[in-house]
Amino acid sequence: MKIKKNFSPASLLAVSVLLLILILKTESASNSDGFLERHVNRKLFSTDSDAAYSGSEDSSAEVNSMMHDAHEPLQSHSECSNTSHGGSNRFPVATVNWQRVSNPYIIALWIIGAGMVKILFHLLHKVVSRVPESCVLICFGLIVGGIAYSINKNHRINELLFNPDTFFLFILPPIVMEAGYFMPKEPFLENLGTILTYAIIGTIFNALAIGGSLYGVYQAGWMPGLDEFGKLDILHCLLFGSIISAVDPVAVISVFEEIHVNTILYICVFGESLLNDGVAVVLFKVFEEYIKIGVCNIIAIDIAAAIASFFVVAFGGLFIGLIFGYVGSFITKFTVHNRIVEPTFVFILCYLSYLTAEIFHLSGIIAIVFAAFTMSSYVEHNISSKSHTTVKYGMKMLANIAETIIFMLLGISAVSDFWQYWNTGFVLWTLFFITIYRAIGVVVLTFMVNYVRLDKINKVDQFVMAYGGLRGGIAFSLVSLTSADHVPTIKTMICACIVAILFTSFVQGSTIRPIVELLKVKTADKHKISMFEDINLRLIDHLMAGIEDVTGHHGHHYWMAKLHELNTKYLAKIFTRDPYKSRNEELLETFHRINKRDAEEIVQEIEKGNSYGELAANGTFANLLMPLEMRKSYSQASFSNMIRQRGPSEACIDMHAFEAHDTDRNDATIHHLLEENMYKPRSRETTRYRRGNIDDDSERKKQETEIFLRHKLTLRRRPKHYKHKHNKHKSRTSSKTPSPLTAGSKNVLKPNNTASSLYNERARLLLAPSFSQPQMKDENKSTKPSSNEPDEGITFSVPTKKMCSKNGWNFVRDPLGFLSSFETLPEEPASDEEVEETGTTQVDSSVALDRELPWKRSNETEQAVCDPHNTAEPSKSYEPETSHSGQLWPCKSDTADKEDGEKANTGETPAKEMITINIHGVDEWDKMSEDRV
Amino acid sequence: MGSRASLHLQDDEITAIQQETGFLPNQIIRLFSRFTCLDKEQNGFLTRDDFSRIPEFAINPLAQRIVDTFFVESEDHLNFRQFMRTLAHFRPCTPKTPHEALNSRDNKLRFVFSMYDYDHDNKISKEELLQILKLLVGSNISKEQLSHIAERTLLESDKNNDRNITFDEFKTVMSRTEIDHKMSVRFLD
Repeated sequence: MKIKKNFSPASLLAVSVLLLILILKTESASNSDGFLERHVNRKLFSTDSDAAYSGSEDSSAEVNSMMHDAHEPLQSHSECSNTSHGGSNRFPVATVNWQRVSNPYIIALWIIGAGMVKILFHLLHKVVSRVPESCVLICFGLIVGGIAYSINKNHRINELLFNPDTFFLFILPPIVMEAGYFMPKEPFLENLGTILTYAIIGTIFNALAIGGSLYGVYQAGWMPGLDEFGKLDILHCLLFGSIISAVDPVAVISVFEEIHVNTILYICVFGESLLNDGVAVVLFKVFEEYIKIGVCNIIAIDIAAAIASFFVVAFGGLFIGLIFGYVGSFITKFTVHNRIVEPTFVFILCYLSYLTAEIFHLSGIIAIVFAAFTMSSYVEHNISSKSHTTVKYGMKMLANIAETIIFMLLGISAVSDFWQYWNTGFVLWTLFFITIYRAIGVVVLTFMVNYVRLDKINKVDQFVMAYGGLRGGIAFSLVSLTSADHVPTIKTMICACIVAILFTSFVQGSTIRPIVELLKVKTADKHKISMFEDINLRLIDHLMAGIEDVTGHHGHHYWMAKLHELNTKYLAKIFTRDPYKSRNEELLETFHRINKRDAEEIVQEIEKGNSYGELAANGTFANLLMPLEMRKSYSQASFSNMIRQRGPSEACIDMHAFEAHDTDRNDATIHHLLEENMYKPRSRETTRYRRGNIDDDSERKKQETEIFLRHKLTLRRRPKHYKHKHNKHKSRTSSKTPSPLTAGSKNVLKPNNTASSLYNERARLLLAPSFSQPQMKDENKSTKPSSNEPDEGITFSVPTKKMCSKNGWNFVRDPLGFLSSFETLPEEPASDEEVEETGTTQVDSSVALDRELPWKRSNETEQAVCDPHNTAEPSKSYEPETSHSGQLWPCKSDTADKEDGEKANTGETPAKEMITINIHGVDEWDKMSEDRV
Repeated sequence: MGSRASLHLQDDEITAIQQETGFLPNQIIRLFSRFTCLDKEQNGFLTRDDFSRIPEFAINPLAQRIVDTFFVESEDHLNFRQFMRTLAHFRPCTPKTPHEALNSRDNKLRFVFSMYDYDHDNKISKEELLQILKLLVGSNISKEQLSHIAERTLLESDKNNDRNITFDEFKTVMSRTEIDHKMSVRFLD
């Protein structure tokens, strides 16, 4: 086990257990007999339950008793002051007021404890990766509960956190809010009918069927011994049925997320389990009311009222949710200058929607789900990307904590005295019925739904749906909130509920994964959607809407089109700051995303240490060449070149230009861009939003060591005669090398030298040696270690200094551009050193920035980025070329003949006086690329 | 409505259409009533004007292209048979659907392809792509932007490097998309 090897997890465990025991102790203060306990309780945590002290709790007594051990005299004084309390109170030097902070303090400790358990879980996860997180949390809760129980049978941890108020007002909202916010919009709306069918009809069916069957079985006398605990009423059964029919999203979703089941299955289960919580709560309240009224007193009007109230509650919640969602979207429209409050609005307005709905006894769950759902559509466009990250993280964090608390409490509550109310018959029947009715419900409803659906839900999906019906926190909360006054057999029900939760979580939860794999459930195609595919999909959407119009039957394409129209035409205009500029904003977003992805891929490849040879070896070479021009322009646009390109030329390819309005030609934006673009590949690991599953950063560590090594090497290899004020960023490329820019490229590609010479070996073999060798021969015989050929092969494409300095833009058109696109360098105009320096700094972001010491780093960056030279100069100095570079894209796109363009370019290159060897290389590459293509 | 419409529809016509398109008789009758409903002049065929009168087409950016797909080139009249043949592309299909059926995956894709392929040369050129993009995205986007997108699209899809997208390339691009149900409409019985 990992823990044994590692000290820190063990200590973590110890600390968290200690913490929890501390909490326990705090809470276990009620009338204990043992002297020690009493002593401890009285002195340390003098709680209100201690009759002798509770009334006379004043601060000085507290502080003194706290200092009991250390300051004996003081204690006597405290005794004295205590007995004569109210009399001669001296001014206290320091006071302790535990009472005042006890509750929030304990809650805070709980959260910390929960967080630590999370950490623990991930350490454990390596060992027991098959077990869902919820199980581990429950187990941990069981352990703590066991300890608590053995210390004090009457600890009241549960009551503190697990009363109706805290649960419904604090623990539940974050969970559903998060779910609503991250609900995939389009699939949800497309499958809304199906989801609602499952959630509403399914839940009601389950509640009634389970309740009715339990009652039937009870009447038939197949639950021996239940009568000892109290009478079971039909309403009690129905209440229990409605409690136990709430399927918990948490457990299932985490499993589904991991396996990437297909969207339809995912969204159906997700949506269903989310909304059926709301339904179950409503049902629960209905039956609770009925029990209060009494089964004999219920008349038809009550039933009608219940049905009516059901709709009122559900649609009222929806309405309030939408209102708050839109209000939130609208408010965030005006937060340009107050970025910091943006997340607040999102969180608080969601929460307010919940509270507001609760005021009117509407479904808070539905309200908050839809508030978050609505907001997520618009807020994203309004708030800054950082705020958005905050919102996303905040949601995840809150939900995660709430979830952890629920599961742990569940475990703790499971160790309690209600097991003496155990009734085997009731428990087993419950298990039986929840399983069987879940299956029946799913099959029957799917049959109904499939009649309407075009893409039918198949048998396997149905099975997974039925099997994924795990019970969780909500059921347990509801059942433990029911008072024994109304339902005499509630303790038995709690037993049954806990067993059901444990059974479903452990048995089904841990087997669902193998089963999904075994049944070959269609998993979501995770392939990254290509530009053309996206265009096609949009086209098809419109086409289908059109066809539905022609046939005159308004199917879901029609409604989706309507919705889309409504959204872009009106809602988006009202609720987003800069309304969609086009009818198909998503298309542009896809384009933007693809741009970014290209760039990231390249950086990742490079950071991983893959050379081009490596890429070629992987067969991605063709791909590499394919989007060659795109890469050239896009990837670079995303890196250093973007800055330059955006400065002087309008031919900016990157969609940033599109999104960020025109005022972005200043340093701040450049800085922003840099930050956004340069750190991406490294921070990607940590910004993946999956609740409770953050990838380990071993990758990063590897990178860091790599960078460190590179740095070392760079230092070592830096030629003496190379003088540059920013020479930190320079590697050894020297005056001899045509362009100092190569330095950057070498930095970037340094992994070849250091991290794995294997790469080089392979790369060298695979990469056309013809151009790496000339390079070797000519250019770098002096400095390079032998394992550097791939680098050479790559750097060869760097144009001569002359060309670079004269016409950095032109070079982009060089067919070798795809090579340079990796280096990003050849296009760096070397006209003046500042500019080029900027380029270097920006290009090998990770290298240049990270190999610096942190404090220096920021400075360096700023210097590089904010130096007026860097930004102002380039634009000035390239002014003459602006027109030319402006043509860059149109040229490419309009000539519509890449071949020609390339040829022209190759023709051009010699004219530009490239080193002859380079020309060789060019031709070589050209041929190669053409062959490949 | 349905009864009146069916008056014009002979039984043998229904069977013929059924054989050709796979629609059920009820669906054919229902669609025929729709057909006559669209046919404002009651002359037995549809014109482009008839289509443009469909209110929702006003908000469909691709309305014109969709109408074009109904009409065989340079013809202004669309009879019911042709109408049905076009609609048959959108019948739901299963993996068992024969390859040559109108609603097969291939034919569905072919249909989409033909929406791009304005000049019927079995290739999507950049200009054709641009036109569709323009329709899809609207006029707020600069020409350069669109051109970039088109270029990008072409580059990633064009495998044989002829600056055009052939049907095969198109199919490759769409090979991982669930065209089957995306391009299906539920025709009422």
